[in-house]
Amino acid sequence: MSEEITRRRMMESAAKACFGVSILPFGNLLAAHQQARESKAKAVIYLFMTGAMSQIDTFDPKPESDVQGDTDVIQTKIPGVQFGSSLKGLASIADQLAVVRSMYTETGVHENGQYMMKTNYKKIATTAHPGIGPWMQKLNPSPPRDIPPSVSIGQSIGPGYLGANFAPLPIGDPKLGLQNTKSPGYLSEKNFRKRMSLSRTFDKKFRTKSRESIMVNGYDDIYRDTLRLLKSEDLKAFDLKLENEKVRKAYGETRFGNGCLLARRLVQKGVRFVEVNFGGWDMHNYLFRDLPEKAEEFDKATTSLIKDLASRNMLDDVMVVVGTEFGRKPNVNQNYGRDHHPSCYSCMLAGGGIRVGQVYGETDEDSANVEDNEVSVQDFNATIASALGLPLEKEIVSPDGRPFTIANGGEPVKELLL
Amino acid sequence: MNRTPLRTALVVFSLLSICTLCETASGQARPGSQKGGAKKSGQKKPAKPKLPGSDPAHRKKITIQPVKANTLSSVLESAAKIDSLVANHLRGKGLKANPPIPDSVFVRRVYLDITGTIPTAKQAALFVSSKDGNKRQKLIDQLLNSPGYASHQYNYWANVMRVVDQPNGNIYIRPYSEWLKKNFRQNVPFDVWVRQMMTAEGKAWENPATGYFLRDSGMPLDNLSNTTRIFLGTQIGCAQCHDHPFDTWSQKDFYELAAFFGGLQTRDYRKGTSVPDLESKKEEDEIYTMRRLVRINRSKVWDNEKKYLKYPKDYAYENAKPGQVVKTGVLFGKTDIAKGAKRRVAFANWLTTGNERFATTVANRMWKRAFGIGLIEPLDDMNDQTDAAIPELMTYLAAEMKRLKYDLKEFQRILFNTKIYQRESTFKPLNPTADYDFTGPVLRRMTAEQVWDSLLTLTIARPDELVRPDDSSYIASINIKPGTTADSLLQQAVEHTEVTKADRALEREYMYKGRVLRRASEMKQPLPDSHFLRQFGQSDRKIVENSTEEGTVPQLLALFNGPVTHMMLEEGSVIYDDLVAANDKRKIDLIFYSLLSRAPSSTERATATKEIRESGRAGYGNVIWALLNTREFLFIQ
Repeated sequence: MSEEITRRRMMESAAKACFGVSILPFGNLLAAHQQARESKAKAVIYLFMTGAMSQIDTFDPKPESDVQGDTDVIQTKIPGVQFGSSLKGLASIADQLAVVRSMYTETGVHENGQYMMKTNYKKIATTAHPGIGPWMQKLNPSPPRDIPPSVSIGQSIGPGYLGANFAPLPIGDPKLGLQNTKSPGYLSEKNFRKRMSLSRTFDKKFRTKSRESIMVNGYDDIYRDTLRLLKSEDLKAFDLKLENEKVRKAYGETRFGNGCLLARRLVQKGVRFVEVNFGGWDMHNYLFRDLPEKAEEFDKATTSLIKDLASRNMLDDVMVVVGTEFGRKPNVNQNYGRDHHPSCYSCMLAGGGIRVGQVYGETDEDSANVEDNEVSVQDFNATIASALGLPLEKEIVSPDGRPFTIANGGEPVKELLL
Repeated sequence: MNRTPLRTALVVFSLLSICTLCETASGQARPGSQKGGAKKSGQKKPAKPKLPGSDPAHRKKITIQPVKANTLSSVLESAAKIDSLVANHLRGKGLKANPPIPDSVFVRRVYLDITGTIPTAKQAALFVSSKDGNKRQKLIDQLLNSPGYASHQYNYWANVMRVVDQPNGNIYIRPYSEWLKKNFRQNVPFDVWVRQMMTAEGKAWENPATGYFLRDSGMPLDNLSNTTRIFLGTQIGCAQCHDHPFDTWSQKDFYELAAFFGGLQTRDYRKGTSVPDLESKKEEDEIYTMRRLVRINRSKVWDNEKKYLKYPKDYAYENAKPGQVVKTGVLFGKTDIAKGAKRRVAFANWLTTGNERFATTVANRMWKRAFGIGLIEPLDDMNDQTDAAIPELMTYLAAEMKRLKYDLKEFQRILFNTKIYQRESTFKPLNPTADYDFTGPVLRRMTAEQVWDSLLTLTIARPDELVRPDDSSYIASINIKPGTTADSLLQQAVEHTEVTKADRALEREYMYKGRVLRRASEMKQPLPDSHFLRQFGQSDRKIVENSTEEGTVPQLLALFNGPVTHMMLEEGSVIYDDLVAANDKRKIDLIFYSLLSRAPSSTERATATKEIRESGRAGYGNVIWALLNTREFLFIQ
């Protein structure tokens, strides 16, 4: 494994020289790379809690206040810092985490909140914005690989105006991995090529007619990626059955646990952005009944992921992010749940490029409002981009001529960065 | 669940071993020769899986409310009016409409747009060769009168309204999904079924329209945001927490609208509800099932007329106080709350008759379905400044919608009969900063449902007749009747488990090699995210209109290697059997008509002929596979 990582690093630095770090003076390339190696992450595993994870019952408990309800708290490894009691594993490695308690956003509508977190832009109907994975690939192209540079586990957003070439590979159920990769036995390589060539012949007329259509042409990239991936050894990365049983168990063998494990396997193969979506946090009803199980599943998988990355010496290179669309109200509603609350919520960072062992920002006594060091969605994403060494000011012009930047004007939180 | 990957592998494997149009070994055998190379003497043949539908017991005739013959002239008049409005607009801009489309493009497009599937080879060829001067308008009527109309319409609204069978284990609303389909089959006017949803009371199996609120049980404010977005094209979600930053809505406006639902309840804990006390049964194995049955029965829509919405504790504006009771109020237009009328009835009145946006929104939605893009975009975020791309046309369409009393079928009949619909699609990418000028429809990729249903059309004869087994015995097993005691509920829980098992067994009868083969509208709602339909972009039904038509690697893998595309290359499939029956000279035409609804060009014919000469039987499979993997197949021209 370590050999492979070394080989990849070599390739990567070569690729950087070829492709993209043109912002650096030539002579400094090596030095810059050395520095980058020390303080910048190369890959991201983004764990997204869809439905809005309650901050009070996880990362920002308020044991002194009535709003805490039935959720107990637990002391973490950082003196004076407590989590909700379901997060036992994360509490025990809190020195490896940076918890941001002072997030806030503009919307309490799920789709808009998720969209904002994942793209940094307000959802509008005339343009589709890309997520962080496609942005990474655009700003700092990785060398061509068999495996796509970004993967989404569970429903997420596409490449937006960057086009199909930057599309994350979507995986439905991580346990099933990538489906339909086995060619039928009768179908030889030669025969397959023949079929493709027949297809091209039959499609000629339509393709001529549609030559200006981005939508139609986008499929060329997808066909190319698919064919390359089908021939690749990297396909094995998608197969969790090849993983040691002990490791699988440690992640929990739940849907989310499998997602985290798959994410680690993919990152090992050079995937640079893996998003694992974990739904079911929209607890308007019976939060105190339903949250512990969900939070324990989250805790087990996330803790195992961080420990696993550390034990493989990958944690310096891989950033782990926990995000959600907004927070939940301090007041418990009549259905024993908590409603949407955009004015404050918690996120978490760990691994590559991140200054860990800290809690950043503070909310008031009920976790109703941010009191100190507020972090907007754009600031949060700017911090991630910064930890990856991506140029925040670089403008990308969409096909309709509008300029965009990865952070959309957000300021990185320096205290969170190495 | 644990067995799925293994089972998938087995399915793939077993599929291929008999994939008779793919075998390379039997080069000389043709589908025409009944004793093809598939049979190998001396070998025991495994029991052949049958395609669902071969058992007549699984087929059900669906009746559809047909369009009226005597309104045709008025339909054509309206269509002509639309054409003149578009023509005026184009003239004013100095633009020319796209050229008219030939019959082969029309037939494929109109089948996909009205029934959600490509036509069969026979349907396409029959239409193209017909000499009837009115054949287009006749085909439009025929399709609007077919079951596919309701299926396709349902898929659209299920995506918009996030229809699911069970929002969670404690709420069962499949009857709601079936009720929606029934509305489309019977062509119940749009305003009528929307009003029914807004005012419905009871359990989902007593009054399926309650599904609209039960879908969002415990989330009445989100539900309201979706209601205005879906039916009024207006987004007020931001105002749920604070004054809308870009629109006129204040948080007070939001709360005043929400006040119409101040008494709405989706759970029933009242005394006298026939739910027994389970304390004495807590040691029983079935206690979890019993409790679940109780919770399912408590999921019920009713109004507590004594309950009123109050401003939230953190209400920060001067115009009202936290904790103060909110008075009802509407966003625009007017409402007439008759004294004593229920608040939800008043809301329904306002929603469906008290404002202009209701008609505009649904007219624009139907226009977008036919043309691929709305006259107003985005269609669910209008404000006072919103202008339609062709304002006079939008006004006319909204007026027509009202004149037709929200008869969506008749409205679409008009759209499909316009000349502008029957023009070539615009292939160029649209300018997202400017309105589209409607020189014709726009090029679209098939929706996930259209891809799936089209593959089904190639595989199973009359797939519309395969519907979900009805859930009446399931409902009987969950419904707690008055007078039920703890003992009888225990018995019911045991029976319920049996019924669930039997239902699962029945579902397996619709499977072909582990996969249920029914139209998308007759599948579980929603499907697991590893399903073919989800891979092709069907919504997870979590958020409004969450479907996507973007291409992905797993889609291509499914087309290359997936069992779903191979099923149509096997004996018993529509295209296979058609090929066997066809004269050798007609076989290539048949394949092109089956996949692309058109005859091959001379070059294409030569290429296909050469391939079949070289590869024999497998050549047919190769040509079919190749056509399936064209962009022409996947896009609606």
